[in-house]
This record gives sequence, structure tokens and C-alpha cells, in this order.
Amino acid sequence: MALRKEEKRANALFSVPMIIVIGALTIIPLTYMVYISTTSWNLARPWGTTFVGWDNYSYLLKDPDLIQVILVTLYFVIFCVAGQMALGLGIAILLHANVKTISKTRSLFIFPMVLAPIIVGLVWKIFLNPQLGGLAAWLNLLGLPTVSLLGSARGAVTAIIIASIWEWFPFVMLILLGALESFPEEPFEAAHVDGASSTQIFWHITLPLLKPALLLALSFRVIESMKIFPLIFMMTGGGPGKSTSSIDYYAYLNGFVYLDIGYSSALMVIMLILTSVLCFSLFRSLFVSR
Amino acid sequence: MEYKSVAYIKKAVLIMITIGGLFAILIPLIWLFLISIKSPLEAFRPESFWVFTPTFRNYFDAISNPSIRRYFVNSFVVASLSLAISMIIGVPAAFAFSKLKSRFKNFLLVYIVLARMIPPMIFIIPYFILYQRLNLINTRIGLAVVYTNFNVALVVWSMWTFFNEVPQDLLEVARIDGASIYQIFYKIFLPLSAPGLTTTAIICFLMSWNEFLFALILTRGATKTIPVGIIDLISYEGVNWGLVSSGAILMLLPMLLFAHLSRKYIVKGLLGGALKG
Repeated sequence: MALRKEEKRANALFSVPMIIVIGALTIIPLTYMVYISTTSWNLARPWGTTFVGWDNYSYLLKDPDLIQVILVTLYFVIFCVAGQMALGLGIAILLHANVKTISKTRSLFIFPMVLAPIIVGLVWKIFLNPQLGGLAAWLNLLGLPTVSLLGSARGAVTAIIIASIWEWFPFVMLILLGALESFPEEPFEAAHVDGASSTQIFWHITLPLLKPALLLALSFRVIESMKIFPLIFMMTGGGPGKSTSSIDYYAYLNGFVYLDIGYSSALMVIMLILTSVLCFSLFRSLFVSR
Repeated sequence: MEYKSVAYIKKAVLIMITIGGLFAILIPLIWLFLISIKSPLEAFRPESFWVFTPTFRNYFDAISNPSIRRYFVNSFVVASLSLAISMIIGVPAAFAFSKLKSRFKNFLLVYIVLARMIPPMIFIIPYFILYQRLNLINTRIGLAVVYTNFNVALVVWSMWTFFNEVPQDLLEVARIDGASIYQIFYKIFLPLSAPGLTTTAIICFLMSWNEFLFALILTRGATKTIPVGIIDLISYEGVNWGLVSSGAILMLLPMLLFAHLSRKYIVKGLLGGALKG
């Protein structure tokens, strides 16, 4: 009985500080943000803040820029995640090929992932710069004309997608490598004995076995690809025009460039609800399947 | 005999593909390094590739620049402070979640996952306003507190996985031998999860060191951290790319070293409880 009591006390002592800290640092600011979103708060005129109720939210529906910003975000998510998954899978399979020299290169492949997002942006800004960059030099060597990728709308979008794929494919690669290494050998041996080709083995054995790991990597990447802000800030500043402004960049623009924090907060409240629902459904299925 | 040589060729081809791929992937990063050891004149002659006289002038300039030095110190102070608070609060909680019975465990774990996954942009406006009111804006402690929010979540989540790997029986046996929960935690579980602790600490430090958005909005002047400092160097007319890239290289070197040291556990640390789904 005394043991139970001690356990209870230890439990409280161990977890209550964490609960208080996390609770305070999330609930207070988020509640405050909901309040800000119901006002006409503009940082340029701090004296004239009035309660406006749903006005900011109803403006969300009328905002002509918002629909484009959402489309840009979707475009980023789809192409960045697809590229990360494809490249991550390809390199994981290459590194799994059981050759000693190859597996030693593994920790070099994860370099892009540990760089600060802002450095990733810098690396690509320099590399794609027609005056400084490696891309121009290589194109020159091949006798091709120099392109200024960041100068056009389509090029800037492509550049950001390339940078994002480069930054995060190692994450997918690591998850898949971990899964590949944990596979039992029997099905592969049996397939070999039966004379299956390596493409057949890949499609009929490796891929189905990889499915849970692929789903896990996919969920993580989809949610995390909402955090593309530093790349955009560094490489394009949301432009040319609004061609590379994602939702979070647009919220930053509204809040800290146009200083309309009331409207920006309303946008973020909606974003909070959407990402919470997304995270919750994904992680519930992960926890339940355990 | 023939079979062996085919296998040999296959192996050689695989190695060549890997090295080619590695080169293609690392070339932009190598380019950053090349720019950092070129003179301003050479930097604008990209066609010279590796044929130029390297100079470490940029690195000397970066190190002797008092504001760049200060940015490094700020980053280090903020990251260490946040790391210390997060570990002290987070590790015992992770232990309690993993090994002791708790009614709200599942709810809290999901809440923590959410707190970690939500885009940081959502928090930035309320923190900015609250910090202005509390006079915490432009302070290193203020920035460290914001990072603690994300880092505690990361610590709990990642250490929860590492503690889960230690069998529950160990706790029961030690209880029967008369050890208190505190002794069990301190003398058995902490030493057993040493690799997990190191990895978690490294990832936490990395997150704060690399963080950009909060640093951009919540710090000005003397309290800036390096990512913001690097942006500053770029926003001037006539950017000194050599200086910018040498600053960036100095910033990323410790991170590459850390990543290399913790490469075995880094996925587990990042994915936490979801890995064994």
C-alpha cells in the first residue's frame, strides 16, 4: 500500500512540471491568438483596436489572394513530398545493396537534413545564382545557356521544390533503410529459389513489406511540409508576385509586413484547426495500431 | 568463375552509381564551401570550378567580426539554456509516461505530438504581442523559453521511446529489492538510456541552433542568433558572398559533427513513439 502511495507521488513529481510548462506555453498563446483574431488589431495603429467579431473570418472567404496561396501550398506539398519519397526510396534501396563501401557513405547522405533550413535556402540561392552558381558553371561546361531560375514564377516554384526535396529526402531514406534492415530473409530467399527476377521481387515482396514505413514517412512529410517558410524567405521572399507564397508565408506577410495581426491570427486559427485534425487522425491510427 | 566476375562488375557499377549520386547531392553544399574560400573576384567566375588559389580571408573576417561572434554566442546560450530546461522537465516525465501508471497518459502523449507537429508560424503572433507586454522581446531568455516549448515535447516523445525499450520487469525487481522510484530512475534507467539521452540532447540543441522564425521576429540587434545574422549579411547592397558562406559553414560544421556522432539513433529520436507503429 505504501508502495502505491510512493508511486503516485513520484508520478506527480515527475510529470506535473512538464504538464504545467507545456500547458502554459501552448494554451496561453493560442487562447490569446483566438482573441486577437476577433479584433481589428493592426500594429501600425496600436490605439485603434476594436472588437470586430467574425469580420476577419468572413474576409478569409472574400480574400482574392487566399485561394492562390492555398493552391501554391498544395502544389508545394504534393511535389515536395512526392519527390522526397521517390528519391528517399531510391537511395534507401541503393544503400541497402549490401556492399560495404556503399553503406559507409550513409552518413554523408543525411547531411542536407541536419542543416538549418535557412542554410539550405542559402546553399540553393548561391548554387542557382547565374553569376556565382554551380548550376551556371555546369550548364556552361555542357554548352547550354545559363538560366536564372529564381527570376521567373515557374522557375522559383521549381527551385523551392528542388531545395525542399534535397533537404528532406534523407529523412524518408532513413526510415525506409530502418525498415529494409528489419525484414526477414525467408521470403526473399524463397523468391530467389523460385527464380523470380529482381524487379518482380521488388514489386511483389519489398514494396508490400515497406508499406507501413512508407505511410509513416508520408504522414510525417505531409505535416512537416507546412513548415516551408524559411526556404521561401531565403530564396524568393514569396515572389515573383505571390507565386511562391505558401499559407505560412502569407500569414507572415499579413502579420509582420502589412502589420494586420488580426487577420493573420484568423488565418492561423483556421490553420491550427486543420493541422490538428490532420495530426490527430494520423497519429491516432499510429497509436491504435500498436 | 564467370558468375563471380559478373557479381564483381555489378558491385563496381553499384559503387559508381552511389558515388555519382552522392556527388550530385552534395555539390550544392560543396559549392557553398568553395565560395567561402574564394576571393570576391573569383566568386564571380564560377566557370573556374576548383581551379583557383584558396584563401581563408573570409573565415578570418567572419571570426574577427564582433557582431558575428556575438550571434554565435547568442545561439549557443539560447540553445544550451533551452536544452537544460527541456531535459530537466522532460526526461522524468517521459519516464513516468513509460513506466508508471497514469490516467491521462494517452491524451498527454497525443497533445505533446500535436505541440511538436504544429507549424511554428501559428505561435508567432501571440508570442510577439505577449513578449512585448512582458518585456521579454529582444532577450535571450525569452527566446530560450519559446524553444523550450518545442524541445520539451521532443524530449518527452523521444525519451518515451527509449525508456519503453527497457523492460518493465527491471522496475518491479528493483521495487521488490526495496529501491525507491527515485533511485530506480536515477541509478538504473538513466544510465541504461544513455545513448537515448545523448541523441535527444543533440537533436534538441540542433533544433534551437537551426531555428529561424522565432529568432527573426523575437530578437533585434544584440540578441540576434546566427541564422538571423546570416540573413542580415545578405540584405545589404553588394553582398559579400564569401563572408556569408564562411559564416554559414562555421554555423553548420558543429551540426554535421553532431549528426555524424548520433547517426545510429537519430531516426528513433526524431520519430519517437511512432516508429514501432
